[in-house]
Amino acid sequence: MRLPKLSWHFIKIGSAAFGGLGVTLSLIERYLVKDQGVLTAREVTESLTYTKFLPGSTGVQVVGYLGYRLGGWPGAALATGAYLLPAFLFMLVLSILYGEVTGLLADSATPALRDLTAAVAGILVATIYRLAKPAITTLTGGAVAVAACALGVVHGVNPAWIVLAAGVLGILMPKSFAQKQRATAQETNPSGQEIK
Amino acid sequence: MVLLELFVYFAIISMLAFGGGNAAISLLERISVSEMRWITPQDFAAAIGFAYITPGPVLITAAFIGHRVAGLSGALVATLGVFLVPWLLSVLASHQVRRHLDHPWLQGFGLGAAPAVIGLLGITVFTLGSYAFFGWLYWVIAGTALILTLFSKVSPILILIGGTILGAWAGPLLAG
Repeated sequence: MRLPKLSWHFIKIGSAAFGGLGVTLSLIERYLVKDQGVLTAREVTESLTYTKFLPGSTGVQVVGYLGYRLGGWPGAALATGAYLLPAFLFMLVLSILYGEVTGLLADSATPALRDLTAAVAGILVATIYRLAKPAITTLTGGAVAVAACALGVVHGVNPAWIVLAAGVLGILMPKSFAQKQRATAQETNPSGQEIK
Repeated sequence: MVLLELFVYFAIISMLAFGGGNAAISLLERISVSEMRWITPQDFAAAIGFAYITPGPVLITAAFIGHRVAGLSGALVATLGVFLVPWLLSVLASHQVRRHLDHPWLQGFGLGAAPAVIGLLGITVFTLGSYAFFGWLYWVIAGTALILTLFSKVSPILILIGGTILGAWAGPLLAG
């Protein structure tokens, strides 16, 4: 993908990424996987897998990780800069106006934020389904997904440990996770490119 | 000198943020309010509020704090500080994973970890739900967003705007 086009996509993603990671993933899935076909659902999941072990903002790391896939170091830098630019400008303006109109803004924003959150939850469920389709093809995979969610929600287990444990399980018994791997890889890769 | 301080402290905060941006908020508060006295507790609360109502990562709070401390250059330096190291680590990870993607261990790891990562996204849905679902209207908004995203070509951006307008319009009617 050409760098100006890449930047433009990430400016769009950055200006609508309300609530952070969830919407960021949904927009990446929509624009770069489904519409443009330059990334696969697998690569998006992969970016989440390996950034789980790193400290810092996951949204920025997913963008950096995938930006590198799309255009090397320049791609990673431009994608991240473009992704952060809208948020940066918003915060700058809010800081400049702070004390004058922002109190009013914060009060009126709370109910709207709740409506927005409901829409975000719906979009995120759709994205989870899209990412799950190529990644979860066996019963074991499904059980791991449900267990990971339950462990996080009920017991508050650190996500990095959950991912590490599941990854080790995958090394020990790859066959129980990998049924029909080829067919699904092509199905979610409309451009027909070989997955790198 | 204050610019160097901003950069170093924000970089330290980012390197301790295991589990994403939200995990770093309490440390961010301790450093910027109690230790460095860059901003007041009220300003900090407002800054976090703004970070949530604007798009993008919550750690963009750094831009606000940096700007209050040292103007535009402060905002730039603080933002760079809070994102640079995690970004660098993720790009290096991307580079390394691509180089070794053929290794059977890495393939196995990816196969096993992928369902867990997707399951963990479910936690976010639960968190969002506990915050937003206080009436049937919110279920309608979420359900409509889900169906439109799965089965139509409507842009997610339009769905978000539509959901917000619908809630703002119908919410008061239902409450009153």
